[in-house]
Amino acid sequence: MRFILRRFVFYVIAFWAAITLNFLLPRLMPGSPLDGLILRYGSAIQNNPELIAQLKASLGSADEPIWHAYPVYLHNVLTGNLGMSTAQQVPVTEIIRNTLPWSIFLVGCGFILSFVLGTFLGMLAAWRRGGITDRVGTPGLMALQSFPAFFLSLVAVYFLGLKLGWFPIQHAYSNDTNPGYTWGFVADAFRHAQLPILVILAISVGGWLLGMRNVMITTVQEDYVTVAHAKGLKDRKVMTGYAARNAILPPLTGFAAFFASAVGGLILVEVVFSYPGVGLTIQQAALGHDYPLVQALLLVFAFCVLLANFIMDCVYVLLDPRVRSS
Amino acid sequence: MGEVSQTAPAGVTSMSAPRRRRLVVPESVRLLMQNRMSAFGIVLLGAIVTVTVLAPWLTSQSPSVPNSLPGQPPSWTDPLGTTDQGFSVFSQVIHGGRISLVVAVTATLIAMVIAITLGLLAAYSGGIVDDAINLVTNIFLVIPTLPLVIVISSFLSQTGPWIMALIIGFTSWAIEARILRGQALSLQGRDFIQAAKVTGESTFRIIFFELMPNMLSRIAAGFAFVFIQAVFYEAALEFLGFGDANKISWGTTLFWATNNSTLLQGEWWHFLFPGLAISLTILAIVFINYGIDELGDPRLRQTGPRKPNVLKRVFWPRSAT
Amino acid sequence: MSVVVPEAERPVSGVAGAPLIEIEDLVVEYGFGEDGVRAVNGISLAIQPGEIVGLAGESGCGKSTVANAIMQILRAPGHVAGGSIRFRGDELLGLKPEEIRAFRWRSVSLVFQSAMNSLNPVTRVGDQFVDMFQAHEKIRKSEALERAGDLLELVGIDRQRVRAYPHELSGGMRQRVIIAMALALRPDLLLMDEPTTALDVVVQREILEEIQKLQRELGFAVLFITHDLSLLVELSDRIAIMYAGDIVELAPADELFRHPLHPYTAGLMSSFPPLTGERKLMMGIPGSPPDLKHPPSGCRFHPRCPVARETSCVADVPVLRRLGNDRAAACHYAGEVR
Repeated sequence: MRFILRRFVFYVIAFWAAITLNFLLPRLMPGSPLDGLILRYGSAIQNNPELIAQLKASLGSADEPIWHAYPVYLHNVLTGNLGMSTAQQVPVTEIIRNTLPWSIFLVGCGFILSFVLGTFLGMLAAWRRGGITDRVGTPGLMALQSFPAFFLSLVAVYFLGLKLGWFPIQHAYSNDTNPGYTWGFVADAFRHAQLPILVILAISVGGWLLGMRNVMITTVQEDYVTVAHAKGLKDRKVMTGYAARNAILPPLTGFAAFFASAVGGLILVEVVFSYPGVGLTIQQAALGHDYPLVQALLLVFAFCVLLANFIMDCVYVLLDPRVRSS
Repeated sequence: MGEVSQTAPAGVTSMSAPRRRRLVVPESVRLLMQNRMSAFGIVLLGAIVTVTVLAPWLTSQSPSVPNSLPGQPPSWTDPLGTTDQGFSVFSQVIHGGRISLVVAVTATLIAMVIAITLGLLAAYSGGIVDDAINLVTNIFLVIPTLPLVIVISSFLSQTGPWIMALIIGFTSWAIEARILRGQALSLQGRDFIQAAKVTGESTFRIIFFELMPNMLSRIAAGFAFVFIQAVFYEAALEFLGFGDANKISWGTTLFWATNNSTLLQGEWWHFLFPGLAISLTILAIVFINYGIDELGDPRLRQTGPRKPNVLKRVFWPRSAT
Repeated sequence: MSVVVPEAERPVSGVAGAPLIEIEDLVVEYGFGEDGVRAVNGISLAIQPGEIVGLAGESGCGKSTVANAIMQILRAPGHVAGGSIRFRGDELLGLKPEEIRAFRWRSVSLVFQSAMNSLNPVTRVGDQFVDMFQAHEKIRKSEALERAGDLLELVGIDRQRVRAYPHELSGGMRQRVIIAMALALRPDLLLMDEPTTALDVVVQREILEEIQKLQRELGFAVLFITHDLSLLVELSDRIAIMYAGDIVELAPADELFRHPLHPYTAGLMSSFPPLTGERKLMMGIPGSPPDLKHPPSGCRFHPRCPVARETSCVADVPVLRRLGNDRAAACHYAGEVR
């Protein structure tokens, strides 16, 4: 329990660090982002004093001392006031509300599936070293990992989508369907998600497989596995209940680093497939120097990663009783 | 045919055949070459680097001057085809590698220097210093890299290759810092470190001259890993449009490939080859890493009866296992 | 090199009747071909039902390998390269996997040295008993837990501990749990591989007394493997001494103690100081165990032996020869060292 509490406190601190980073970044950059914005968006901003005030709060300006602006900014963020998107002229929170669910959908299906599949294959590869899974799967999936997400996406789009026409290649749903909780729409959404999810699988499975496999190899040599065999337990039971059950713990602790890079992959996949999630949005926003949106999205990403990590920590505590007592 | 055979038949020492000078190869390199996967990686990486370095001499076509008809598929004159602007893809790929690799190497160096310093310092100092460094490391670990890098790039008005190297270097050190700290922690309880402390060696010396040399295998693996990240992020940034679109590199080539709807026009060579270049570089390092893994942990090496070498069996039946 | 001991010379143990387990000319190698190392060099040993046999020797002499070979849990690249192991007359080597599984734990079970590592760290103690029971018979989980509780009480642990995780128990308790688990299916033979080495002396004594008590109650045979000869002298009926893959001496415990025949045994005996009696000069055994990849020619002990002769000891491998009642030694000059 204390473990969970400590992790929770850490995540709060990390989130605060993200907010602070967000606050400091525009002020540390050469030049004044605010002036840059005004230059770019001109009248849209200048006629809106409220907007200017907000932008000053988040981006900083010459007439506001930092120790003044910081609490204001903190307060804004924590009350959900993330400003207006300068490019789209709508509140940032609205944009996030529209795009985040799509990303979560992709992540949920893609990355979780890759974790399950990867660790399962890794377990098999280690159990039968030199067997098919190890000889073909390990190097094969590892090789697949070398292909960057955007490249694989392009390959997938071109060969599987355009040339063979097996999958839709853009967006989350067809232009002629109406969003809503209808069966038709859900099916359409799934169809559109196939290719992105396939790409996500391709880039992630290898990592889980290798991690699990390497830990399994040393776990298999532990005494309790030998004793389990000696007790006459079935081979499969020893593999799953004794070896894998222990071997899965170290890879789980690597989840933090994995998720941080998984987010990168998500952004690239969304961009190539024009998938309307937060990844595509942050790219467009950044290119268009839509600072309020960019900053808010960084916070969103940070928050989601922290949340995912916290969930994984809880899962870890459930799986490893030794942590509970410490 | 008419040549003098250089290698004498087995069992016969020839006085006339010139002796080949034996290279003194360190154990680690020998092991790396023995492992088929890492040997393949080393060869592949060597090939890529050579081609990139020799780029100006390998092709007369400049990557940024249109030489041929635009939009041509691979042919004899343009082995990898031409872009829709008429640039030679082949030329772009081999010239582009220079920027991509240099940025990646620079970023890796920056990141590893930070990671080694912080990781070892934390492990050795313990206490408050350790806690502080740990906190910072964990925060950086948990804040997603690509969004952070995108945000930073968006605030900067222009980003050239060197700025990118800096950004990537300063955001990629956390993973290795944590790993190296772990390794250093397990090492530093050992007697030789305690002995060094007791004899009054300075912290700086202990960290860099006692601790670090014992972690070389892990540090090597760390370099490889961070390099992969660096290549990836460098290409990703440019692909997303945050690089200097006028400098030719693998990432920017891919950027132009997607931006100008070449995909829809079926010009697959425009994106396939730069993408392959990136992937093969990463693949090479991954394979090398495979060997480094086995170097560090002998338990991962293959056990069991060594399958008799088929070639040996056929040609040298007496010496086959 | 396998040495065959003629029928008439094979040592006969004190108890009459068919042996429970009979090891004959067992050869175990690690690795293959040129890289192979012979860890067990053709040993023969018979254990009677209810007998306690001690197997002693230095680290690396092959004693643990013998136990692993019996249970057929040799870790790659270890493999049996020759000989036979018969349990109640049935050959064990070459059994099908299903038959091996049935044989394991039910007929012969094993207690490892490191108890903490013998238990799955993430599963409750009781569940590990359940796994074992369910692997051998059809039994409901609740009933299996009941029996697990009974077994814990048998070794002096509160039955509530069935719900504990291994890390929540002390070292001594864990060792008792392992012993309880080993006896769960009432095996005929219990192999114990350095069961008390990792424990402190007080706990060691408790565990040893526990084992003796259980052995009297349940009547199983024991093969007690250790490098600590002093333990065996009071615990076992017979003792076998191993050196570099060979059994070099075999004798009833008290006779071995009083009158060791093999120079190595004599050296071991003089290596521990007695608490009482006159002060003796500590001798120890000079040198170190041989590299099994390149063992010495002839008798493997000859480089360190005080009575080795240049001719016979270097050239000829001594055979484990019966010398008098119940005793055997593999030495050309057995009995010369005092």
